[in-house]
Amino acid sequence: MGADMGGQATSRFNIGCAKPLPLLLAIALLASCATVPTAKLTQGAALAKAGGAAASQMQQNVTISGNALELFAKAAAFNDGFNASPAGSTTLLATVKVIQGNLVQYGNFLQSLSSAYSAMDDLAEYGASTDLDPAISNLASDAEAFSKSVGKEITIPADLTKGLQEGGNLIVGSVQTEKVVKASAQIESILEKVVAVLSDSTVRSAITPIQPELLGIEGQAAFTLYTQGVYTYRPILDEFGAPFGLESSSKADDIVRSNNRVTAGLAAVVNQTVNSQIASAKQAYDQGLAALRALEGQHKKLQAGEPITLGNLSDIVLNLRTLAKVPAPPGTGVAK
Amino acid sequence: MSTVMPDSASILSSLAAAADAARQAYMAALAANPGQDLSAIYAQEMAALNAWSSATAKALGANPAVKTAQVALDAATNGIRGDLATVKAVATWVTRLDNLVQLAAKVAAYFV
Repeated sequence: MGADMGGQATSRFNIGCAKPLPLLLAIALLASCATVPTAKLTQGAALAKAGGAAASQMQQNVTISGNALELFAKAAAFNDGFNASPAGSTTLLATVKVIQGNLVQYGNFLQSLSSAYSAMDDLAEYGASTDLDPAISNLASDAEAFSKSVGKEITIPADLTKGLQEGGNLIVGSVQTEKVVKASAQIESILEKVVAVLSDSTVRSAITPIQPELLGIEGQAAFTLYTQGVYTYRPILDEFGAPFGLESSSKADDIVRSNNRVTAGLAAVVNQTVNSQIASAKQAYDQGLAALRALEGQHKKLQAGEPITLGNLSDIVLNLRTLAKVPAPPGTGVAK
Repeated sequence: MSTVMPDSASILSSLAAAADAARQAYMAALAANPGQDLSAIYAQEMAALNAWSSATAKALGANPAVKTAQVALDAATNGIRGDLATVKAVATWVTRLDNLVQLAAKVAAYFV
């Protein structure tokens, strides 16, 4: 029996020793990864997800601004055509084209920021590091291209965008944590430079169609079509009357057109709509800048080993989402 | 007593207000004369708009005389805004806007 027991013991021992040493090390490393997820990895993943959500939402707001400029260009073309003045808006349209170009660059930067956060999230969650170097590199070049387009050129040091892929494509444990922190520092460094650019008031007007002088062109086109009988003011009139159970009569537009003061009053309502859109565009810009600043602060916390707080960033993203949903109020130019 | 140099934003704001008043004048003329040719007023509106637009792309020069030009432009702008509901004749608007555009061009010229 003793021999048997000794044999079993010997056998078990032999089986254990038969495992190759690298495999044992890998198991040990994977076990440490699975059972001891560091706070920095968890926090890094949370920050990456929040940053990606913010960048995506900002990109959506930028797209809306771009769409507004497209509409502006069409309205300007209509006004020119209506007044037999084919070159009337040429100078303005050139200005708009510059803003559109700047917006495209800003959108590219935000797209790259979103991708960089996605790669950082993959690194923090799964230890996947292959996408990070190219993502950070794209982010750096898009940040440079954007800043150049708005006349505030920045340079991202080449060494800032290198070094994350060293050590293999799948990494674990403390190496993974170290790389997440490094990726965070790289993104933060780029954000810091872009935030400085965006904080310049001239950049604000260079990438947002916030000038009432531009957006008013659309109101003018709508008003022109109204005076020609294409549109009706009845939806606006009905909106006013609704709280009192009143609705416009079929003769309402004839009455409005025959009374300069009523027409001027309703034109002012359309202008107020334009002003709301301008205010939304300004707020979206400011909220976007606030989001980038908030991210910058959280990156610093992550690197310092302090707990990150994403409540403020979530609020900002919610605000941006709300602003992206601001439609033209009912009755501003719908033909009946 | 030295003349205080107004800041660039203040001057741009006056130019923007003038451009807006020109647009309002066009719309008032359109409401009062829906079938008439308003291309002359439209050309003036675009001129006022371009005065503002060209200034936004430049820097304000250090000439305190811009303040006097700004005051004259603001007065013309406010005068047009005050008459939006009463002036109907296209010819009257053309004259009023001609003055506004000249004043706007004078102010814009301080941007170099």
